Amino acid sequence: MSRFAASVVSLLFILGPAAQASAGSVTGKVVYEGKVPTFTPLDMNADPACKAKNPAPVMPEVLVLGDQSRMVNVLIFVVTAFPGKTFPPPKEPAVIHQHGCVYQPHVTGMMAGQELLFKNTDGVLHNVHALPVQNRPFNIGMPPTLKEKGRVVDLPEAAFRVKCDVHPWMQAYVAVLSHPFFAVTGGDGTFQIKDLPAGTYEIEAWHEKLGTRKASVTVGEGDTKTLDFTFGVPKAQ
Amino acid sequence: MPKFKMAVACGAMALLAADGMAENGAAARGKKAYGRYCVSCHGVDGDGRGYEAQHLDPTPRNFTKGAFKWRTTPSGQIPRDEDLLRTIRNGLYATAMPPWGALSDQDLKDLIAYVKTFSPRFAKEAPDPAITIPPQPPNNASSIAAGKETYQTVQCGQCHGDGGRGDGPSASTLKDEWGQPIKAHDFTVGNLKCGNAPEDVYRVFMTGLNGTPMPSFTDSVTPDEAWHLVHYVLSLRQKH
Repeated sequence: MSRFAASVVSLLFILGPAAQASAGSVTGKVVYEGKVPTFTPLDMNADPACKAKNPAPVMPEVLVLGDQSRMVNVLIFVVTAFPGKTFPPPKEPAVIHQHGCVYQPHVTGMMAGQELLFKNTDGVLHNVHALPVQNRPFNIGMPPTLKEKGRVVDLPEAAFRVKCDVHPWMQAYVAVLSHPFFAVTGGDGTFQIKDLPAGTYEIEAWHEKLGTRKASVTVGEGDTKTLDFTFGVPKAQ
Repeated sequence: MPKFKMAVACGAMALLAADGMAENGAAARGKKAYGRYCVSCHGVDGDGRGYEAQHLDPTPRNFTKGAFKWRTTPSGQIPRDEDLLRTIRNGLYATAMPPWGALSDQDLKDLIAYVKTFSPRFAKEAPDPAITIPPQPPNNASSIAAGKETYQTVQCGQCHGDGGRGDGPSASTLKDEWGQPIKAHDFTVGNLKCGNAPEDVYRVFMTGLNGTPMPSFTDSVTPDEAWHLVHYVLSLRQKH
């Protein structure tokens, strides 16, 4: 294709609705630097049923590291607004399981207008006590007879906490975004944000304790850019 | 003709003036009453940190989150005006909140208009209508027995204890939404904070207590089951 034709085609892609061909992606990993605190296992004595479900010690979820100090449960999302664009929320709910007396997943990203669905597979009483600020808070008892309960979360909001009062070690975090460009790092500490229209974006990495890191990335059509984040205290030089 | 028109105009103006006064004046008047009656516990900023608060347990309500225990609205919602009026008028058992029913109706309305200015939620949200409380079935032995079964199925004992003494396995770790330790209620003694009437207890099961660990069970118990639970819980109260 001649350069002129190529640039016309590119222009059409940029001006038109976000076409798959022009979509880029950002991938990367999140790494912890510095001394890892010594954690004591969670004390589940308050509920023998929870203790029975967890014969192996369960470590606090405030800092979860995989191999090579990769950080789990870091939320990565695009901060930059998308003027003139609206993204419909998925019809499927964002699901959080109460399983083994912990919330799975520990950190969830969802879209404004999507349903947040809690499932109780534990056969014990949990309560879902959500503490958002922009959205309406709620506190729903989930005895063993109530296997699932959902609420639609309407407004974008920075990560808020969900807790169980019956089992005080249970904490989850939910962030509500107005677009689908977010991811949460899994066991290998990596993330991938796909289908990004070409452009320059500010990306934020959020951790429940260690705060946030920001970085800027420019994604061209069909580009895959790598963006790594580091949390923690760097070693002394 | 002219007299009639004048009368209509005066009437309309009076109404408009009254409305304007109600909107602009109520919170301002309420602020004066608040400064006289409420500030020593609830604080100048409505955050429950008045001078008296250091001596009180439970501590005075922090109005700034819009989280109120006594409501007729579903879990998480702000209270309706009549809920706030009732709390101020009747007080709350087992707390230092006295009944202020001796104040005039106008004073009470002005007070709640001012209290509502402490949280932005009252400007942003509209509360649902009051929840429907279905007719209460007879309070008899079989209802109490059914309630005891529901108490066990729902596992209320986790916090409230098997005997309802507030000594369940999770009781010692309970914290309110401000991070302060809070007790699960001991049903065997004393008055219930939000009222001892069966409807009051029913309402607490179905709407929860905002700001506290007590959730709403409206999704997991039927109205009849809730009533049986009410009868069981009230049966635990020892009469002195």
